[in-house]
This record gives sequence, structure tokens and C-alpha cells, in this order.
Amino acid sequence: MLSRLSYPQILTIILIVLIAFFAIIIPNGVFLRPRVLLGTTTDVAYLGLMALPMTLIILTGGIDLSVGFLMAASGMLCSMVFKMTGSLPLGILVALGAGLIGGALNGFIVSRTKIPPFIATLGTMSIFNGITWFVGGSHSFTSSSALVEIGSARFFGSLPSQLIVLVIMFLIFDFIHNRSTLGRYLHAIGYNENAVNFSGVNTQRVKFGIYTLSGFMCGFAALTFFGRSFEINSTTGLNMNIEVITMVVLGGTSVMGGVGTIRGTFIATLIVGVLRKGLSLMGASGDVYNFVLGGVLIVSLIAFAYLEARKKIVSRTNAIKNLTESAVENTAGK
Amino acid sequence: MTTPILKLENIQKSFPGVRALHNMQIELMKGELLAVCGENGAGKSTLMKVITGVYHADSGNIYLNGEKITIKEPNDAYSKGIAIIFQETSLFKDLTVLENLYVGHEPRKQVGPFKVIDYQAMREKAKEIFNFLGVDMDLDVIVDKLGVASKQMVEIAKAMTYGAQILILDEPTAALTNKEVTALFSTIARLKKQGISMIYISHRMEEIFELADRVTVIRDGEYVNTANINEVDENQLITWMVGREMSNIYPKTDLEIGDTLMEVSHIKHEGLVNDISFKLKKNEILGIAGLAGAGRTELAECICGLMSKDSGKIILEGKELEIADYKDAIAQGIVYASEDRKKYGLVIAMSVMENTTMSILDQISNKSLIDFKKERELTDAYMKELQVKAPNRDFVVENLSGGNQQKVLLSKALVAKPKVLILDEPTRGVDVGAKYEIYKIIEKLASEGVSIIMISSDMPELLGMADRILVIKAGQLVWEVNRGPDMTQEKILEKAL
Repeated sequence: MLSRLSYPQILTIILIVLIAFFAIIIPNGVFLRPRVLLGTTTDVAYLGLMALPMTLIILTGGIDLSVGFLMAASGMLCSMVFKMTGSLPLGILVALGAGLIGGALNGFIVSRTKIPPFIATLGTMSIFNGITWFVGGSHSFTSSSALVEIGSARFFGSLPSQLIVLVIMFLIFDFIHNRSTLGRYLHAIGYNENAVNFSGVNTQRVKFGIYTLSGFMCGFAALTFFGRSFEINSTTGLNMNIEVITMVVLGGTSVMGGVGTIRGTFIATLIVGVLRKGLSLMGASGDVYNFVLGGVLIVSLIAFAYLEARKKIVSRTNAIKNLTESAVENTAGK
Repeated sequence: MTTPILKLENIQKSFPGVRALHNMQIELMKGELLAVCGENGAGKSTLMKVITGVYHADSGNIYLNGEKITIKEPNDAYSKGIAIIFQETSLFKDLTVLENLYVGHEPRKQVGPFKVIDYQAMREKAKEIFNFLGVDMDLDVIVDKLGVASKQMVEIAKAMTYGAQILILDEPTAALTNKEVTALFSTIARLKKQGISMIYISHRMEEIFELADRVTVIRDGEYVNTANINEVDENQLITWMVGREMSNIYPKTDLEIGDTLMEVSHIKHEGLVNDISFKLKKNEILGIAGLAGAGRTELAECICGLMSKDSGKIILEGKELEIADYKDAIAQGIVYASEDRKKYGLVIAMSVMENTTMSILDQISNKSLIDFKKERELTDAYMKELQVKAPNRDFVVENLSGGNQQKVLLSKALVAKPKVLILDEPTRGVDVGAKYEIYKIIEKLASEGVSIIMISSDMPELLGMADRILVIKAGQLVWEVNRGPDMTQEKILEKAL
């Protein structure tokens, strides 16, 4: 029965089960209150915004480890500019611009050299963190109260603005992934980049594009991060790459490239949000969350590999069955 | 009648939904070489996997020296003296020849309380084996440094370390040069003289006729016939393989050749392509012959912008083209179908449709959004036109037969509406029946005014299809011959070598 469901469907079931679990375990039905339940997304929206482009990158068989620290660096630059000029639009521009430039650096290295993305972005990750250190020292940075106001707003009493932003971005990415030539090329590159090159597609440009997009989204994520009235300091961004990659992998995107959906990543983002909030309401510390998250990453990797292997067998057998059936039809037709 | 060393009878093997082997039988006599032939998908590999214990037959009997046996797993087959030499070697490429030979069953000796590897004994035995094979081999060289042919010898020697009495050779000459083939054949002859029995799988008819004592033909998982090699001819075998008569496999018609369509002038790429010029006419099939590595593929890639050229011009319909990358070439109507469909030609994990439209996706898109309806219609049209045998357009290419994969590759090229179509080894790894269909497609294209450049190592195919043949040797154009009495295999080979 399980093999009949699509991966996003399985994830949705996991999400519901998880919510039910916390609803039961946390007293007084606190967890099911709309404000709490919908609020679970506010803690992970900035991660989800980075997980969307990360999905596109992992689809090609690549990875971007620099996301967390790039978000921190662009957020910090944004905050500095805002403090100096007092102009929020300028600050926003700086955040997005810094993210874009950082992402373009990743894209340039990954597409123009033969350095594996893992190593390339490991290097730039350190560069971005260095920038945060160098410019910000040991200070913590905040942003304008206007940003916090927008970022913490709730509509209809409980619907967080963070969730609205995440959903809009999800719809845009999902549309691009499903409908555009880019979406098609990303899958194909993940399976066999050579063959895509031999189809007259400039895969270097595609790769440059998605790493740059990832950087841009880091800048965007920084704004929503500030919107939660979080502060940025030189350690911000640590382990965020692991959280983001966990969302993508839990969402059913294969780290080998080729297989994956934006939809899966979105639901996985919601799952991580529920997990995080649920654990903290149960009184568990951040260490427990890290422990659980690492476990989720590994388990989903194994589970996905298992499901894939089964699916392969299923689709193979179906394929052979279809072939024989059509052969029978052909002979019958004659 | 002597007892056969290996006998299979009534072998049945089904996979979910498909009958792979049905009433399969085979008899191998001691010291003989039995060729097994059949089209791709006829069940040759499945049969070999049953013999070597990779698969288990659903029913049927296997006899070794008249005794009924079961083969549980590949190691079991080894210990019973049955070894298979695969197309791709299974050697550890970072170990030396000597280490590879005895991996997993190293001779040991007792030193104090320890049993250690006895390198002395290993070395002596290995030398003996290579002597027996008539091959000069450095035992201490890392396997990765060896050529394909030498790796194959190591593989055979490895089988001998297990005391193999029955050797299965699966397309052993597929990747070898002529000289290496000669060496392999002399080793095979030595093995035969020593009473080793062999099952030989090959597409190449001339090899079968040179080596085999008997030949067994299978088709669609069923046994067709067995004959002594001197009692059959090539046509007979092909008829058995495809199940029908094939009078002429090259559907060549005498087309009126048009005017010059493309002119390639002084193409150079340091070390690979050295100053090649030629003209290509409308309706023409231009063959390009040469040894592997002579620069044929590189020439094609230079023309298409897949490889940069140091100098040279490409003039199409009187206009000099600016080709910076392959996209430019496609836009001008120059399309290339790679020799390696799995590596460069297709994304085999994706569907027939996704592959068919891969190179024209931007043409059927509006502001980067794919017009799915158009994509489906185009795919269906080409699947029908080229008779791609797949259940539907969403079928994953990987699960298609070689011939149908090649047709998908052709669809992908044709959907780009080529004026010049460059086909690199268009029938490699394709069975006889599908070959014929591909030739028909090529001929039809030529009649519709497409100019075709056909790069091929299959000499009969070039002679059968080309109007003109260019011979390339070490990056240079060494000979050009028009269809006629001078266009013979001997003369072309003489120039190519």
C-alpha cells in the first residue's frame, strides 16, 4: 500500500502523525491551538526559503553548504547599512545584493572549475563567516523595528506573515520546477550532465543560475530571520546548512541528483517546524533538537534509498508487463 | 556419443510479467567452442547468468559431465570450473596483476602461528598460467595501467587459477583492435587445444565462422537450432536469429545527389584533427571510416561546436557559420547523434518524451514555460514515424532495448529538423532487425533532402549505405572514394591502417 503513495503523500501522513503525537503528549491541547500550530512555521520559514533553491541545486547532484553563513553575512551587512543610513529599503537592497553576489561567487566556482560543489561551498562558507566576523566582530546585530513588525505580524489572529511568505515562494518555485525548461534541465543534469550538454544546453549557465538564486534567497531569508526579531552575530548560521539539507533530503530529493520535488521539500519544512516547536514545548533543550534532526537526516536517507530501490523494481516490473501486454496486443492486432 | 561436459535442458526462467527463457537447451562438448548467437534481448545474457549461478532457473536441469547439478551462486560456478569473462572486467584496478589473479583465494603458508600469503607460490603459479595462455605479462603492473585486451587476458588467467574447465566469453572483442583480436584468438586456440570448453557470445558473424565448432541460435528466449559451423552460412544464421528471410539488409536506392550543401574547410584541433576539408552534397550519405581514435568523432564535434576548433570554416548553403557551441549548430540545422548513447546521447533515466525534446525544449517553450501539449504531439509523431517500440511516451529509456534506445536518439536528432545529420556509429549495440529499420530511416532522410554524415566502424554498413567514403587516419583525411568498384573493404582498411 505504501508503495502506491507518492513520496509527498507519505510525508503528509508523517506530518499528520507527528502533529497528533504532540497534540496528545502536550497537555491541554495546546499544540492544536491555531496560533501554536501555525506558529510552528515561523521558526523554520527562513530555513524553508533556503531549502527551496537548495532543492534545485541537489537535483543537479550539487550542494550548497554556505547557505547559513551567507544568510548571516548578508543580514549583518543589511543591518550595518540600515544603522548608518536609517533607510530600510537600502538595507533590504543590501541584504538581497550581498546574497546575490555571494551566490554568484559559488555559481562561478562550481560552473567554471571542476571543483566539487561540496568543497567549493565549504570554502566559501568559511569566507562568508569570515566576513561576518571581520565586519561585525563580537557584536550582535538587529534590524529595523519595521521589519520585525512585518515579520511577526499575524493575519486573522493566527496566520503568521512568515508562513504566507513561505507559501508564496513555494508556489513560485513549484511552478518553475514543474513547468519551465529550467526544471527539466535540472533533473537531466542530475542524471547525466554530458547528455544535456550534447543537447545544446549550456549547463554551466544553468548551474551558475541556481547557485546565484540560492545566494539571493539567503539574502531574502536574512530579512525574514530579522523579522522574527532574531539577532545576528558571528556564530549565526552555524548548522543551518544541516537543517536546510535535512529538509531537502527528508523531502525526497536524492543526493545523487535527478530525483526530487519542491512539494516534498515544502512539507518537510513543515515537519521540521512541528518537530522543533513540539520538542521545545515538551521542554527539550536545543541539543535534543540537534540530535533528533541528525537522526531524521540519516533515517530519511536510508528510507528514501529503500523506497527508491523498491520503486525501481516496481516500475521495472510494470515496464516489462506493459511491454509484454503491448506485444500481445500487437500480435493480436495482426 | 560422448557425454557433453555441460548440458542444460528445459530451462525455464520468468521474471514478473515476462518469460525470459522457455524450453532453453544447450549442449557443450569437451574442448569445443560453441557460439551462441541471437538478437539483443534474445536471452543470451539471462542464459549465461543461469549457467553462472547469478539467476536460478525456475525449472529445468543442468548437467555437468553427465551429473545433475545445481548452481547456487557465482562462487559455486567457479568451484565447479565454470567461469565467465564479462564485457566489462571485474578486476580491482588498483591492485597488481598478480594480486588480482588470486584475490579471495590466495595460496597460504604457515609462518609460526600465522597463515600468510605465499607470494612465492602465487608468482610461480601465475607464471605457469600465462605461459599456458601464451601471453607475456608483467605480474607486478597495476591493472589500471593495462589496456582492455590485457585486462581481458588477466581475467582469463584469473579463471584459470580456479581451474576453470568451461569458459564463457561475452562479446570479448567488442573493445579490441584488430591486432588484439588476433592475439585473443590465438589464446583461444591454445585453450581449446588444452581441452578447455568455451561458450562464445558475439554479434560478429566473421568471428563466429572463424572460431566456432558449432553454433546455437536462440530467439525470444527460446532455443531455435544448433548446427555445425561448416554446415551453415551467414544468411542461414541471420534467418534463424530474426525468424524471417532477410534478402538485402541495406535498403540503398539510387538517389539523385544534389548540389553542395555544406563545405568544411581546413578544420584543425591541435593533436586530434589536422586540417580536414570536404564538401557535403544534398541527399548524400557521406561515410567516414577510420580506426577508433583516428579523430572521426573529434571532427564531428568540431563541426558541431561540441569541441573548440583552432581554425577552419564551416560554410552551409554558401554562408559561413559562426558556431560557438552546439546550440548554434542546432539552430543552423547541423545535428549530431553521439556514438555513446548512454553517456552522451541520452539521459537514459528519463522518459522517451523528455529525451526526444531535450535539444529543442526552448523552441517549444513560451518564456521558458514548456508547451506540454506540443511536446506530447511531437513525441508521439516521432515515436510513430520511427516505430519506437515503447508502451508509451513516459516510458523510461533505460528499460528499452538497444535498438529502441537508438531510435529515441534518432528522434531527438530529427525533431531538431536537421539539414546536416551527423550519425556517429548509428547501429552500435543494435540487433540485426533494428539495424535494418535504422538503415531504412537513414535512406528515407536522404531521399527527403537531408545530408548525412555517417561515422562507422562497421565496414559492411559503410559500404552498404554510403555514396562516398572519407578515410581518416591520425586526424588527417587520407583517402576519398566514391561508390563504385574502388570502394572495397580491403582498400579502405589499407588506407586506414
